[in-house]
This record gives sequence, structure tokens and C-alpha cells, in this order.
Amino acid sequence: MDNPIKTAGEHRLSRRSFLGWSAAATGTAVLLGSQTGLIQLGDGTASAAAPAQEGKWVSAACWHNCGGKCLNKALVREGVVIRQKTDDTHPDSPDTPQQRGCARGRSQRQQVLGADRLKYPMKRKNWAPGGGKKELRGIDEWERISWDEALDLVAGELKRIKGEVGNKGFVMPRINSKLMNAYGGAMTTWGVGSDGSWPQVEQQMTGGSLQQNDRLDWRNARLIVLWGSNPAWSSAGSPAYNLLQAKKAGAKIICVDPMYGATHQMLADEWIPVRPGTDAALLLGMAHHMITEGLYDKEFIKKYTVGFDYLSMPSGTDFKENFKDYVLGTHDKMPKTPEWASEICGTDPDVIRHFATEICSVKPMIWTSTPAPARTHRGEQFCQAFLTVGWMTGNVGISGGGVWKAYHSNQSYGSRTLVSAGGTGAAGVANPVFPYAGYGFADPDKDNWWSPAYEELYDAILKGQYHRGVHGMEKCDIRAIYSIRTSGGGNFLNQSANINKGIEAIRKVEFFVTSDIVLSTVSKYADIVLPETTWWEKVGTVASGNPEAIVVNKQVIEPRFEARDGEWIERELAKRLGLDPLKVHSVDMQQQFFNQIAGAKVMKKDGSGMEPLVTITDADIAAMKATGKPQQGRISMAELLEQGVYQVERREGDNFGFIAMKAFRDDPVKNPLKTKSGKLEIHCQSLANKIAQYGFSKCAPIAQYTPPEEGYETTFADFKAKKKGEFPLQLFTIHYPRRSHSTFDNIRQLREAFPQEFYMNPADAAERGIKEGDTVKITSPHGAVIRPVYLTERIMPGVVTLPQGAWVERDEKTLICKAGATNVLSGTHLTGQGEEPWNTVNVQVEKWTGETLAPDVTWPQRIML
Amino acid sequence: MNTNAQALASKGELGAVLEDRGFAYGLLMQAFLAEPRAEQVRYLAESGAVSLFPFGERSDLIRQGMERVGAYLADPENLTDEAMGRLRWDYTRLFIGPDRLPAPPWESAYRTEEHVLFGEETLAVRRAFLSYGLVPKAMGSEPDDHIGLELNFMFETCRLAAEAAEEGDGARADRVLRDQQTFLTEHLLRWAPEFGADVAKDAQTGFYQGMALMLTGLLAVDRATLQELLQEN
Ligand code: SF4
Repeated sequence: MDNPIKTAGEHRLSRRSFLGWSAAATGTAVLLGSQTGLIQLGDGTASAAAPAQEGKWVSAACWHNCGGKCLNKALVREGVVIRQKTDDTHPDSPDTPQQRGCARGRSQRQQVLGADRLKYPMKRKNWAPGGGKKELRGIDEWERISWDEALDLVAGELKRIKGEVGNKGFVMPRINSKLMNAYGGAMTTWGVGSDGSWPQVEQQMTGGSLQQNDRLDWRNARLIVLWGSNPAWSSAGSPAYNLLQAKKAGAKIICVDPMYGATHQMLADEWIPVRPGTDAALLLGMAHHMITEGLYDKEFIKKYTVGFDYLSMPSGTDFKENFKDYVLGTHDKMPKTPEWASEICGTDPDVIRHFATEICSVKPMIWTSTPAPARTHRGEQFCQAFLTVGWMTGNVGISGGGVWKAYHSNQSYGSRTLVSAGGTGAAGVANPVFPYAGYGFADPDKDNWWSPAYEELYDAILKGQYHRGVHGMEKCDIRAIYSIRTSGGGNFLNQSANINKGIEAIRKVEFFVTSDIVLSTVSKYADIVLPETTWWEKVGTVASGNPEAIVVNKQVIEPRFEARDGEWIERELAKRLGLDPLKVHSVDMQQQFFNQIAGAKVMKKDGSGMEPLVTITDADIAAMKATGKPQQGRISMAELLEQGVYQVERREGDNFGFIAMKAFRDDPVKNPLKTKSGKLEIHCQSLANKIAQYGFSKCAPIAQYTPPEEGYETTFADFKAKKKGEFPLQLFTIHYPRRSHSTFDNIRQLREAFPQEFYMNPADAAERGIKEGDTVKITSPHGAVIRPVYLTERIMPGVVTLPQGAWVERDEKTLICKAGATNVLSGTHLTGQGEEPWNTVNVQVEKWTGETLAPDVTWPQRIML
Repeated sequence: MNTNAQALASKGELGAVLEDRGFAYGLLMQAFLAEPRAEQVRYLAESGAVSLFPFGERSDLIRQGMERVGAYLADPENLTDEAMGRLRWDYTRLFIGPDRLPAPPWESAYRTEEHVLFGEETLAVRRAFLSYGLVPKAMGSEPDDHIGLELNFMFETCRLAAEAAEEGDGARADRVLRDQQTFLTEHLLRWAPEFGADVAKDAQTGFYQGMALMLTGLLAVDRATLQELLQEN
């Protein structure tokens, strides 16, 4: 071996001239030590002796749209998160369970600290004001730019476009930016995502939002029907555990679903399969049996409902339009028998009869659905039929019984809030272009709004027009997409139907700006992407989920790299647009956090009303650097911040119980509903009228079944002859423990634990020569994806599923997505109140002849180390 | 007890070794610490600094790397504004993002079980820096264990050891070299070879491919050098 000591020094003089170690050796342009990343502390004193600090547990936000709100804590030492844990603040019990995190919450550290975090403002290389090379969106190179440059560019484009076409040249899909509102407004998108077709149906048929009995009262049910519900996967946190308590207390549980899922394995005494989009037919078949056998609760129907039969029709309606005659086929000569239903929904006629008999004979019964069956084309008809058949059993307003929908944060919980966070105190800023919150938009007859529905955004961009309720088609000229999110959400491209059309639309506009924590799908196709802080880097927040607990989250770490919070970004833009930043975001984040704590309320011990939760002293206010008044509550501010959660202790028979619709049940005359008739409206003209106003599809005033677009019937070229068509299978999409919608899809350990597989029945696979583990190509009228197949008898023949939320990864030549993003397959069908019909999609499946897909955890991923 | 280093120091010969090492760490530090600047790249090309990189005779990797970078800089096509843009993109996609990072330039990204930034390793690196009163400019928001910062530490401590040697304080120089040895074995050598291999594989320009080879080569050579310097005489 050569001796380095001997060979050293050969070029000593020339090397020395580069080093800049002595003052004499200057004169060269760039010295090796001239640009350093390390700086010497002031007096140069070594601080090696400083002992390592002790770690401290900090309550750390899990802020996703998952339905849960669990307590997650981070062990922080010297600004570094060492590990995480979950709720251990009190002993676990069925009455007062710990708020324990799921696999996603426990992966939060990987999300916040991942190498794939967006670090600096980035600009697409070939973008220039006006658009540049627009076709390169999604495949262009990027350049790091400074915050000043980024903000100047964004403000410049906003000014230019407003000047050229006015505020309707902007669209901010699925968000409501205070900055844009203050700048004169922007179009948004409206309609219904998660809630499917429910909002208008529940409002019109029951006069309000459906409520649920108290969690502990679910244990009084003798029968619970879970329709389209798989909380073990889609409502992580405690819901499946809460339902298990009801089962242990003696409830029989029947689950209706196209797939036998994890919840069904855990809880179901019986699983009733039904094809997607045909639930209304199944319910009508049940109603037929209940009517012809005289099983339904005639007393209840007579006293509490209108429109069931011709005698109870509301005035001013055609009496022939009543529900009973429709079911019996009195006028259309088509009785909706179990056999009729079975041909459509795939459920055995005897099972339908047996099921119908059971729900009429076991009392009390909880009859509950998620909105999943209502996320279909013509989804209203399911909601109408579900309520009608539920009401026919008379289980309304009683202990252990009820008819409602429950999912997300209210799955298994009652509607009475026992503890709540205070408001942030930040003033709202109205959007002059669309003065509504957007979600479940209900005024299609008013003339004060301009915006396309979720499902029509891309056509509005591409074709320059959209449905504007009763006003018909409205022309538009959308030049820019604004997606700076101050509170997450808004990954519309990945999470709305027809991603291929979405990319085409995005490549048409002149400017697209986003803020993000990683390069999620929307940001991948943007021109300027701004790095945003996660909730671990913001000052703190109080989160509400289930009605029995609030979670208080503190700042865990300093903002990473150059990430800034969305409100800071909007204040900086406001300055550049000549607006007063304080008119945009009126209250700073620290004060917002304080307000949420100070305004927190808890149910009084006697259950008579709410009282302040937190005791606050002058010292607390000073420590929070907030303004406020001292107050007396139940827990000190220090204790609350330390434990990170406040949960109301529960026991059966406590003062916090709640029975939905009890007042109406007890005295319907004294306590009428807010419907036109004051009763439950089985025949509901106002619903039919309202849906007609949106201008998309029609809805009968009673529950009927009309085949939806991309439902079961459309899988046939000839339904009567049962000759299958080009897209012979039905796809529905599920929530999956790997992700909360699209969030977390970049996390390696979740990818490993929950592979993104395509579920198919072995019979359908055999017909196509497909074997377990094969890579398959799934094609719909709107796009194609490839995925490994998982064969299971747990899914109905003819029906397939793929978990929603994977980050689209499209081959630019073939347009095939290899990540399996379900919205590549779903089409933008306009229906009802603008709901997204994700569960009515027709597909064909074939063996993939290209390269076999490796599990995505092993991919050299687009995003992740 | 006397080490080779102390013996060399007393003869006034240690400085030469430290300057070679400092030069090597300094050049690589400049390459990895931040996005390339046009004047920096042009200066490297004009000055022939890369050809002066030491230890080529002891490492195939270093020689290959020098050739690759040398060839890159010798081609005038690579010094145009457009080429500077390409080089900048290479750095951006390798080390900044926003898309996948083929070679995240942080020790914690390689060494934490979940491949996150900031870990126990980051704190250990911070402690090593602090023992010399050094802190990263962006401490708290960016991880302390960036490759450029770790090379910066080696560069800086080479200077401190050279200063001590200059002043005839062989014992002090020796202590600094021991700290370097610890840092090299506990940090750089635990991850930078893998990082270097990733850069060499994924870089699109000869510039970064070559710098990565030189990095991997240097770390191996410097381990032997330090061992030798710290051996008892
Ligand atoms: S259920 Fe939701 S809040 Fe709870 S740990 Fe999981 S992701 Fe977080």
C-alpha cells in the first residue's frame, strides 16, 4: 500500500492557494472555504460539555380527514422527534375507551419528517407568466426559487388575470381562500363528496340532518343493520370497538355490502351481498314483502309519515304517486317483488324475504347506513328507499332503535356533543362569486353564485361552460387554478372523478399554484409549489372528532426547511395585491389556539347544558402571549396542554344519554319536524323539486328504482338477453387503512402493511385466465390502471374493488396509471345535487401482458426515499 | 507516547498532509453543499483545481471520479448557460426535489429505521459540531447531518489541526485528528458510501457522477490515512 504521508505535499503550493487558510493566500476567485454551511459560534467556546437534554412527550396533531381524532404523542429531544406513542392518559374501558391511534397516526413521524417533504418554493422550469409550455405540466423540470420571487410571481399572475378577465377567471377547487375572497372572489367547486346523495334527501324528507342515539344506547339494540359500512377500515379509532360492545350486549348484527370486509368478519352474524348502485332495488323488494305480508308497522306509518299509501298523500299531489302502489305495481304493472329485485341486485329472493321479516320482528333495531351506497349515479333513490323501509319498521325515536346514517366521525357515536373546542375567533371573508361554504350547496335557484360542480370543473375549463342551476348553461373563461391551502385538503385532481380529463384541463389554464407538504398529485401538475408547514410545525390547535373528547395539539418542532403556514403565505400575497393582510387573516395563529382552548365547553355533570372547560389564569394568558380574560373551568390549562386530551367519562345510565327524534316520537303534534308536512315525508315533492333545480338528473318524490349510469344494467349490451357488454364488471371503491383519502400514500411502512391490490372474485378471474398475484389491467370508459390482483370469495362475482386514494402515476404515452388511482377509472357523471358517483363505475379486466408490477413499497417511488 | 502525526508535526511536515486532506474535503464540500453556481463551475474548469485532487494514486474511485469530472469540465459545451441549467437541475432532482430524491443528502435519511430526516444520528452530529463551537446556519429547520455540512466539518477541523501543527502543538493536532477519526467512522463512513453509490447511479451529469466517486474514494483513503497518522511512532 502506498504511504499517504509520503505522497502528500507534491502539489502543496498549488493546493494551498485554493484553501484560503491563511490571509496571504488570496487572489483566487473562489476559495474552497469561501462558501460554508457551518458557522463558528460567537466566542468560539466549545460547548461539548452541554449535557444531552431529556426528551419530552408532546401531544402531536393527527389532522387528517379520517373521521378519527386520536391522541398521538411525540417524544421530542432537542428539536428531534425520537418516537411516538398514543393515548395512555387513563385506563382503557368500553365505557371510556382510550383514544388510540391507528397505523397511519403512528406513521405521522414519517410523514412530517420524510425526506420527500417539500423544502423550498419551486417553480416549473418551462412556465412563464401566461402559461409557458403548458403541455409540460406534470413532466417538467423544477427550479428552486426564493420566497420573494415566488410570492411576486403569484401576485403578478393574480393581478394580470383579474385585470384581463375578472375574478371569475380564477377557480379554487374544494377550498375557500380568504385571500381570494378578499381580492374580489374566485369560482370554487360545489357538490357532495363523502356524503353522497344524503344532504338534500335528509333535509327534505326529515327536515334536518339525521341524528344518532348516544353511543351507550346502541347497546340496547337487539338488531343492528350496518348498510355499506366497514368502520374497521374506514372509521379507524374506536367505532368498530364501540359496535363490538353492542354485539356483546346482545345485538344481532346484519351487514349489507358487496364485499365481506374486516368489520363483517369482526361483527356480522349475517352478510347480505348486494351489487353496487342497486341497493334501492333490494330495499324495494324488501318493502314488497313487508307490504304483502303485512309485516310493517302500520300504526307508525299512519301517525308519523306522509305518502306511504294513497290515503296519506300530501295535498296537492297525485295520489297515484304513493309508495305502496309503486311497490305493488298497481299502476305500472310491475310489482317490485323480491324476484324482481334479485335480478337487479343479485341478492337471493329468499334472503330478501327473510331479511325483510327479520327487521320487522326484532325490536328495537338500529337501521344505519354510511353514504357509500349514495355515492352513486342517482344515489338519491337509495337514500329515499333506505329511510322509507327503515321507517316502515317503526324504529324511530326509541331507546336501542333508530333510522339514520352514521360514518366518519359519528360512526357509533350519538349526536349530543359532550365536549367541544372553542372557535378560533378568526373572521370569515365572504366570496362575492360564490357566497356559500360549497359543501352540499343548496341554492341552485338563487342568482348570486357562479361556480361549476365538482364533477363539471374540467368540462368548465375545457369547454368554457357549466350548469348554473335554474339559470341553465353559463359561459366561463377559467385562466388560473388557486390551490394554496391554509388547512390541508384540496387534492382535487387525485380525489375527483376522471383524472385524465383533469390533467387535460389543467394543461389548458395559464397558471396553477399550490401549497403542499409533499409533491402530492395536484402539486405535481402545478406551476409554482409553495412548501407548507404541517400541524406539527404550527403553534397548536384543538381538534374535535367524536363528541366525547377533544384533542389539544401543541407545536412539536420548528418549521422544516423553508416551510411556512398557509396564513402567512396569504398575508404576504395580500401585501403584494394591495390588500390589508389583517383583513384576510384577522387573528394570528397563537391567538386562534388560545381562543380554541378558552372557548372549549363541556357538558355539565347533570347533563343540563354546557359550561367552560378550562381554568385560565393571567399567568396562562401571558405564557400563551395571547389576549383574554381569566376564567374558571374544570381543568387547568397546564394540565390540559400536558395531557393533550379531555375526554368525558361515561357509564351506562349517566346524564348524557340521547335518543334521536325522541321529542317527535313522543308528541308529533307538539314537536313537528321541519318538513312541509311536519312529518317524515315518504312522498317528498320538495325533494323532487330541489333536485330538478340543479339541472343534472331527475328524482321521483318517492323511492323508486331507475337504473343508474354505469350501474349493473349497463354492464350488459342486452340486459333482457343477459348478453354482457364491453365493460361487464362493476367497480366500487373503498377506504383503506393505508391512507386517509390520498394522505399517507407515500409512507413506506404503510405501503408494506397494506398493499394496493385489486380485489376480484375467483370465478371472474377464471373466466379471464387470471391467477392470484397476476398483474391485471382494469379499463373503464374513462381510463385504465394496472395492479396486482387479489382473488377472494369475499367479493360478489361481477363486482370488483380497488382502494381509493393512491397517487396517480401515469405513463404519458399509454395514459395507463400503474399506482391504481381509482379516479382514473371513474367518469364525471352529473347527477342529483352534484354528488360524485364513485361507486357506479363499469370496467373490464384482463391479464396484463406487459411487465409484472412489483409491490409498490419496493418502487423507486416518485415520492419517498 | 508519540504518534506519527506528532512526529510529523515536530518535523514541520504534518501541514502538508492536512492541506491535502483539507483540499479534498473542501472541494467536495463545495460540490455538495448547495446548488452549483455558474462562476464556481467555470472557475473549477479554468483553474484546473480538480486535477489537483489528492490521493488519486491510492484509489481507483478517486481516479475515475477525477477523470469523469475533468472530462465534464473540459467540454466547453458543458459551460454554456444552458448546460449550467442542466447541471442545476441535476442537483435539484438529486438533493432538493420536489419529486423523489434518488439520493437524499442527509445521514438520518440513510440511517434511521424509517428513513426520516432528523434522528438520534442528527443529534450526535450536532454534538460533534458543537464541540468545536460550530453550528449549521439553518440549525433547527434543516438537518445538521447534510453531506455538505459533514464535509464542512472535516474541512474545518483539517484547518484547525493545521493551525495547531503550524504552532508546533502536536498534541492539539493529534486530538483534532482523533475527533476526525471518530466522526469519520461514526458518521460519514456509515452512510456516505451508500449515498455516493446512489448519486453515481442516478446523477445525469458526469460532474455529480464523478464527485460521488471521488467522495466514496476519499472516505476510504482518509480512514487509512487517519489510522496511519494516529499510529504510535
Ligand atoms: S384514526 Fe385518524 S386521527 Fe386516529 S390515528 Fe388514525 S389517522 Fe390519526
